[in-house]
Amino acid sequence: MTATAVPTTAPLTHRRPRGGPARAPIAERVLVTAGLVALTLVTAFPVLVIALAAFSPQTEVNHWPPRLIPSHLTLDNFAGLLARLPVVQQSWNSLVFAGAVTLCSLALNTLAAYALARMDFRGRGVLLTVLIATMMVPFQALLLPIYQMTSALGWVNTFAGLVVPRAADVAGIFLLRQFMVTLPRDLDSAARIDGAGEFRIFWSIILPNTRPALLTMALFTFVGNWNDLLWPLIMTSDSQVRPLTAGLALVTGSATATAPYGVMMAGALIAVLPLVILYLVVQRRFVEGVAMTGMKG
Amino acid sequence: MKTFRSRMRGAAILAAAAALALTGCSASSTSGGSGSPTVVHVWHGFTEADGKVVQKIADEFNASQKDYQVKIEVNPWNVISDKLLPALKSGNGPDLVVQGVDAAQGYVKQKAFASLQDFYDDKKNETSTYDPHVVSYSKFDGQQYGVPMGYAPFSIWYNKKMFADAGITEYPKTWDDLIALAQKLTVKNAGDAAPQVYGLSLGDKQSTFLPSIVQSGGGEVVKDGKIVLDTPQNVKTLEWWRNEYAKGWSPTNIGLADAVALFTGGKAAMTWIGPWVVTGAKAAGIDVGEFPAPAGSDKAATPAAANYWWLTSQGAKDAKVKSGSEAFLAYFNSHKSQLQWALEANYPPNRTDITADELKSNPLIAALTPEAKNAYIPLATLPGASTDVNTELDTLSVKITQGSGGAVTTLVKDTDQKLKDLIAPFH
Amino acid sequence: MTTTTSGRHYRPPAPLGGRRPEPRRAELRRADARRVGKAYAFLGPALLVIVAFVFLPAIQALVTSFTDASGFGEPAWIGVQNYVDALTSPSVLRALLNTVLYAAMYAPGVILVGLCAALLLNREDIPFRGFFRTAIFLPFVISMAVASIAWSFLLDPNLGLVTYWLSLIGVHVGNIFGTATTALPAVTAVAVWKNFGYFMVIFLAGLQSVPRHLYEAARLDGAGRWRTFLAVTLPGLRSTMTFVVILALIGAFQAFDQIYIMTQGGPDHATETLVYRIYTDGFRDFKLGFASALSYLLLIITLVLGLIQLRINSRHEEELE
Repeated sequence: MTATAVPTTAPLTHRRPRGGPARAPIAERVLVTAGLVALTLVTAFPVLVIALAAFSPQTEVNHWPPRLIPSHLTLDNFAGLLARLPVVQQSWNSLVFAGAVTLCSLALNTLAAYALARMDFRGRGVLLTVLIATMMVPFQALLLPIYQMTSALGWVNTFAGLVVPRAADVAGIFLLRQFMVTLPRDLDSAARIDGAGEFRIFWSIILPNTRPALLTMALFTFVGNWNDLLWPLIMTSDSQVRPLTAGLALVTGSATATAPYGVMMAGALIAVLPLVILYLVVQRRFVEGVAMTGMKG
Repeated sequence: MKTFRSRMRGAAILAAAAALALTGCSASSTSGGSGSPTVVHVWHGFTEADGKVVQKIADEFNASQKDYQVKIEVNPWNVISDKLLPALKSGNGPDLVVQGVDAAQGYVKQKAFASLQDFYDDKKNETSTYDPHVVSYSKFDGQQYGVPMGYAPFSIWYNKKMFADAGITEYPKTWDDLIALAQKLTVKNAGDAAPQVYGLSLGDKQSTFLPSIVQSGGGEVVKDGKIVLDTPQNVKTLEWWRNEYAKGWSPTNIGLADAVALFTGGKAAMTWIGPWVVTGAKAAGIDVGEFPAPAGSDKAATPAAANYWWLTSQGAKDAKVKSGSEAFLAYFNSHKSQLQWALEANYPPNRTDITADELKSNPLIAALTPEAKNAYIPLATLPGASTDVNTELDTLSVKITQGSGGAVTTLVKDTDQKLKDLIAPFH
Repeated sequence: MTTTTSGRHYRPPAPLGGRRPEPRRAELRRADARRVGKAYAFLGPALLVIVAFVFLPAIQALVTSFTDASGFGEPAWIGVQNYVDALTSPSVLRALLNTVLYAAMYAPGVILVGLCAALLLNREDIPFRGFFRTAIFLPFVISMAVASIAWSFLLDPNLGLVTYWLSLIGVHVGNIFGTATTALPAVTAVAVWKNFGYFMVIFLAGLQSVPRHLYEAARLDGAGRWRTFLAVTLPGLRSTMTFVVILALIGAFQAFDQIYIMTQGGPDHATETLVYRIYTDGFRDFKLGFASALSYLLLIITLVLGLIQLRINSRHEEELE
């Protein structure tokens, strides 16, 4: 008797589509879809609540039993927010801060990653190891020394102080380096034989091929810095210079006087909306980028 | 090779230039040369109506003279606490800062705050118009360090409509009467886990009230810098408090802001808070009235939300900045500014020479001002570790109100010991 | 035809029948130095920033950790006293315990939920896969600050929507963030909510790199779904898993924002992690020496865990060979 062998003729009761995997029973697909719907609700629901509460009248936000859909929409919370925070200025600050850090780190990280990935020099391995080790130092530990250093430079409450310490970061270098390492060797070896300068090789050959990783790094850097709380909170005390996420800390309340929840939600919405829109526009890139970071390299 | 080298050189020059430019662009905020006004940096955490009035007064001060410019930075209170010392050490801190007395004592000890005795000695600053009770809190080692900024007593605020519906016309004068009233106003239907409406919403999680309750029973938590929590009198008072709480007229394990939010959300008939609740209640459409906190077995005691202006070591270093700071303080507590402060920020004025008649356009404040004499700053003489001490008292407070954690005697004894350990390094 | 590694070092072809002349050692050294020089020209700007704003502060913090720097006074050298104090201080040990508890809840949480989501999403027979993936990943772009605000609101004991809905089905949650026993899990849960989409995507990529033919082989062998999962999927995810575990642990140890906004280390120090202690000791209490020592303790713990994880992984790889 032959052991399990692929039947040469499919039995009539188990007709399968040609070349495709088995289609699972409907019940299973429904369950899986339901599971995904549940997960989606859990992740998307709070964002929805923020949006709805931001436009709800305060009496309904602060009410029991609470209601999700307001009886009418109002802009009062945004007025209240504007009265407490220079929201427009701070949103602009967020844009400039995150944007400047992204541009600077694109330049600096790419150059550094190229050296670590495509250039052969003594001490490269050691340098790489040391850099990776620095990624594990907790940020709060460095915060005070950096604060004192930038303060001595007169950079507190300035954009220089916010941006320059972030102009290059090891995580970004590492991400780009991992990607560059996977590019085929003969891309640049031919150019080297022809005697092309190192910078020329970097600029005309490697850089264009690194575009997916560049975009990913840029997106992560932008999102990470837009959302950063502690660093801008410590480096700025002037509301006019402060980016939005840190500025919001002012309306999340203190012991004796809290901004009403409606105002808080309005602030949260403004802080979140630009990134959500950016995300929805480029979400494929985002997700691809994350996948890339998980690749063996 | 040549092209590469020259390119790298070019890049290096660019980078250096950029670095120079960025450094140059820093907003240096020290006092300018002769002719430009001296800048006085002020930090506070007021975000609501009170913050707006402070800004108004500062703007008026800036417009009224050419020598000094006050620049205000509003930061969350906890951020101010976090950043004050490092900022002062590196010269980026404020020259004047608003703080309560308990935190200030620690700062005075650490030499972060400077004496303002000369401000008090100078008659033109009219400091004799300040309330001696209020001023006494900011005196350390015989020197005056703080200037009154806002001293507001907590009172019982009530929902006028709920009182009218229940036919209440007189307010209770003792705690027992108040709790009986709170029970009457609590609406709880059979089968509810929690009441629909609480009679009195108190923030037990923030130990603001524990010292006052203890005081109204004739005891103290801190006296002259020493912990005196563990006394039979206090145990008796707290046992009484625990028994009263068990009657369910207030939520438990709730912070002050949330307790007040219940009131402004229509889920409580009364709450114990300072006068700044008025704006929030109005925005929520609730008509509010107030009456003074009732008396306990010994006396009437209510917390005071007291903030003072303090001159920092940074501000005291520069003579011009120091005189600018003192000029602003005198302006803030001038008759005109204080009238504005009382009427618009809903705080009793810092000067005793403002008459009830002048305050008549804000009847709530006019009624509130005399209540300041029964208002005590909680833990005023604490020598340090105020955050940790408050955390311990928060925990004790909730265990009392929730009836958990064992007998009151043991809880009080343990907390007393913990507090003693916390302030030990500060003696 | 000569093949060379660098166009710079063109070597003349060997003379017929003879040996190639040996390059002089000095020439080699010069070539080396040139290479290093060029490399550092590229690395220069980035290294400048990193050295100035990461290395130097790290060194400064290390030096400070051996002094009694605090307040406005002058620091004095006290050797390892800070470290000894830290390891014997009950409050620091409690912070350490909280950190470990947090990591023990966060890492498995975010990995399991991420993996489950990836497994659900990795099927071709589900409609709207793109939509689900987009929605589940969404919390990643929301700041932890905003996430904290949102969840504090939803779970507010007296005003929250989720609190209300739970009460309708008979579940009465008290003050979740204000009760010592539930505060730490709650704060962890917010972080898991925010980050599991990220881990899901990493797992998705890992799942898709498991060779198809292994699944085919399993199917032909008649393996059931669970068996296939254990025998094909999990082993195929091994290197992904290593990466993900390190990522989750580092993320757990550095958790800060939500604690800062929602609980400030309370109630009663229940959510006070080591990183939060470092922040409050360093800034609010300005005990620089002690805070620096705490930071290096945390760093050592992170490094040790990272090394252990890498060692486990390399041992697995040896086994596979």
